[in-house]
Amino acid sequence: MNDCIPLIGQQMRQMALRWFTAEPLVRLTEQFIEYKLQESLKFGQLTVIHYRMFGGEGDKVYRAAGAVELFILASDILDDLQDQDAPGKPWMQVSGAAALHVASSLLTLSQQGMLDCTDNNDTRLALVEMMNMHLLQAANGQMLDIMNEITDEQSYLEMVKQKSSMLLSFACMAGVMLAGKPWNSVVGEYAIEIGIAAQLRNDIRDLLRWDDKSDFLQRKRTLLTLFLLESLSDEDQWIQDYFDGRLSAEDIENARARYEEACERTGTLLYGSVMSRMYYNRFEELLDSIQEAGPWKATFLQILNQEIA
Amino acid sequence: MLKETIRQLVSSTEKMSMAMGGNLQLAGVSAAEQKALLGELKNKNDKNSGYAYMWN
Repeated sequence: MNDCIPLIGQQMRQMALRWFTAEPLVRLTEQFIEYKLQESLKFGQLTVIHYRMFGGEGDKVYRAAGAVELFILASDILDDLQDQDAPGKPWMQVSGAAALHVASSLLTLSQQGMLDCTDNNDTRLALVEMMNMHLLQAANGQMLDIMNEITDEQSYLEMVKQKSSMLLSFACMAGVMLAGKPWNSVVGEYAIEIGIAAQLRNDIRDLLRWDDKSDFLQRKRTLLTLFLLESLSDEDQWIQDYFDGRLSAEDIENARARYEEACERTGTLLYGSVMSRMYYNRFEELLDSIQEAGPWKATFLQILNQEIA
Repeated sequence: MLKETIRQLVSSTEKMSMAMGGNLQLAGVSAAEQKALLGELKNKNDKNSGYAYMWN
């Protein structure tokens, strides 16, 4: 499936060159797309594999996969602008106004790309309705994440369903519908499971970081920081104090080893990995339940297990 | 209940060993949670390098 990455990249470039004429917009967009192409384009690959799984033939899927990846690129840029924690990314090395403008232009370009990927008006309408429905739900989830006001596990999982799972569902369902098939509820359901499993895996990684992307240092509420905070013993009171703002980052700058030990001792790491695996297991069960997936299962799992950027 | 079970496991080496050997009764834990828990413990056992963060 890796062989489709250059084809998706080519479509992304072509769409930009067709619709963008202002030199700085073209230049920055090309620069950002080239950076994106160094990653795995997992979402675009999910579109392609679902198109093939559901009987789609021919090359038009690469346009749809390119449109999906243009949206993902836009949301990556917006996410980094919001979090201000990725200074090495090319869009963080230009003015905020320029990066914001490229991102918002890419959102519209991705919609145009989706409209252009088929001549069948019924399919186009179904695709764009599906796209907007997913992306509006993802926008709700992203807003909840930015506000960081989650106080319980159920609310966190609901937020992840919106923020992460809807993007995966969008990518998968674009392939299904472009192949001329209606909305597939099993695909929609397993995309939610994958999204939660992947987010929890990222949460484990970010729980243990000790830099600008550390969920702990950023006092970010996740399933795992909530579990950690409710599992603390007396000796760990400083963790609660930091989270509540009674201690500063300077106060705890030498506490990394103690923090990691607390994550292990309280079972926070085990809890995160068990929860992630549980959602992943559920995804596999659902995948096994659809006949179309049979010959594609190994490739599908290979795409998912590529490193998450 | 999964949370409480995990807290008990990490605070008792004996219970953790029994669970890793599949010999611990996990009352109140759903079948899906048990499958995931045993999968992760097996992963830890096999790799012996802390809990795995990646799926097998």
